[in-house]
Amino acid sequence: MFGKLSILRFVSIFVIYILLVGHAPWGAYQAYRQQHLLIMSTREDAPTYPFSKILVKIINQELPEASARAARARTFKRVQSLFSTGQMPLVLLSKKNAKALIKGKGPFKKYGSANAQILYIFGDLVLLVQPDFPNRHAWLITNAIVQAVDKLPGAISPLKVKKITTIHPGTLMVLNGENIPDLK
Amino acid sequence: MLKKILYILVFTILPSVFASADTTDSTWMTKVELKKTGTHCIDDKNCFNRYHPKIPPAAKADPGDMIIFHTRDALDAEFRLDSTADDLSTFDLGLVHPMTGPVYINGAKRGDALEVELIDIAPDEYGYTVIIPGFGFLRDVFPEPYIVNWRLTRIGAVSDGMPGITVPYEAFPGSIGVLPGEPEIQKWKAREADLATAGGVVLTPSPGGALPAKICGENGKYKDDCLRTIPPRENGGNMDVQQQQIGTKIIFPCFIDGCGLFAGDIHYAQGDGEVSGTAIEMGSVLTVRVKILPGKGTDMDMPVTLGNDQIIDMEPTRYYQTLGIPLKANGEIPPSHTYLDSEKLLNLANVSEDLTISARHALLQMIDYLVKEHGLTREQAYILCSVAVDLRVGQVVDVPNFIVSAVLNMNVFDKYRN
Repeated sequence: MFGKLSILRFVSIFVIYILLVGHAPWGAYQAYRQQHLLIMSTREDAPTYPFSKILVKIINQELPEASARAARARTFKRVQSLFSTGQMPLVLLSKKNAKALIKGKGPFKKYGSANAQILYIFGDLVLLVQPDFPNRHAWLITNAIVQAVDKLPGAISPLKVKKITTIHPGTLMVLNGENIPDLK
Repeated sequence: MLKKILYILVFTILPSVFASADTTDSTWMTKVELKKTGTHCIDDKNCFNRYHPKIPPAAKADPGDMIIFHTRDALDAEFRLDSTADDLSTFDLGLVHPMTGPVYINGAKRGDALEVELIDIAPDEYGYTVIIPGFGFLRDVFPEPYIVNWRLTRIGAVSDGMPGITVPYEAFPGSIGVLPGEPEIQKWKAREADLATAGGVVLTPSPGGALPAKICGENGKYKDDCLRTIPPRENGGNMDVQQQQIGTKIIFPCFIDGCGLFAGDIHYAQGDGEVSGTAIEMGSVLTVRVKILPGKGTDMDMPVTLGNDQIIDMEPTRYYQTLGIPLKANGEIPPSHTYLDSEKLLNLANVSEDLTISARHALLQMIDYLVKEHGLTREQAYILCSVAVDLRVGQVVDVPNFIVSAVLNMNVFDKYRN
């Protein structure tokens, strides 16, 4: 569905970034976050971490170029910080906490609201994505999920996801059967 | 009447006399204790993670007092026995290192020196060693996060992630020092900025996560002058010198009145080199006692350590040693040398008078040995080198091949011990 050239483009911006920041240890640490597709979860929302590991396994089977990893934050505060600053543009939260993150309420009240769109839903768990996450990358991840939807416990059907108004445009493109978009 | 007096004497007065004779009740120490409050440094009035002379004292102490620091782990993390490598990519490096203090030493002036005697270190029950992406001596070889969780007693550190290995208890403060003065801040900041411009690995002041927030944080009055704690400097700090064991004395030059003594980042054990970037990191209760050396600070370039047989007690009784000379692969420039724009190095297999590359050579051989002969994974071997292998300079005269050796304390293997 996507050739070697697409994959090269998928990782090329990360490689350039690594070369730019490679000198400073902390910069290289940031680069690690760019090098891998990190699915963030948190200790404070217990079901998210075990499911993130399942999701990572599936994504790596379907899209090995993503080099996905689970990334567990210790607190909601850290989740808000990493997500809202775009350092980690994907986070898995239970529905209640996902709503709270977007509205800046509940456990996120002290830290403010965050813009987010839905990439997929798995039972009570929601995979949120930063709105400025490239359509191309959202397309690739959604496609990987759809290809293995039967292996993901609680994953709702693609048809149901399509009806959600706040889904990421890249996700909608896959579900509409559109071709993979270019990286803008 | 006499019978009544005897009764009172035997059953009332004498027992109370004997009770007070318990050694617990006989004390002589004056203690100044800095306890932890809250879960993290940000919750704790006795904790800070940047250096600046305006950071207010958390306590005052006299020379001779027992100063007791309740310290946090180096990363101010929330790792625990069930932590995994997945916990490493989210934590905030802006929180490094949480220090306990500062303590104002009554009578000490700028220009004096402060002798700090390490009296005791009581370890927490848990410690960790990690590989952090982009950090550590072999950061190009080990780019993925990794963690070993240790169970600690004063007998040894053991881990499910490192079966068959017990690391002996040889605790010391990874970071201990005194606050810099205003002239030192400006001088050190300038030299580090020059190095950063030249492409060196420098962490310039960064207010994200900085504490105390009022002074060093995003809206802090001195946010651009609060120095990071990563590099050791003339004020001590993150020296990571394992010979600074209990019983030794470290002498620091004082840069401000009261000196501003602090400590933290206590290591349960560490090899010379701390190659993965971390030792066995833990919280602890550190006790020290200080003495002022009037006027002695003006003669000092750096802190010095005075010890007795501590350095001998740490020596392994059985060891395996690899030797490194400045050899490297063609087409390789190690991360430590990239800032020099040394493209001449690229196609050299042999480098001249270079201890860093010699150390790398010795360490890579040691990792190979641990993998081949002891069945460790490469990550486990790197971690073991960080906590139990000493990099030592052999010689710096036999040009071009200066030697660094890597010495493994074989007694860490349970199979060699009773």
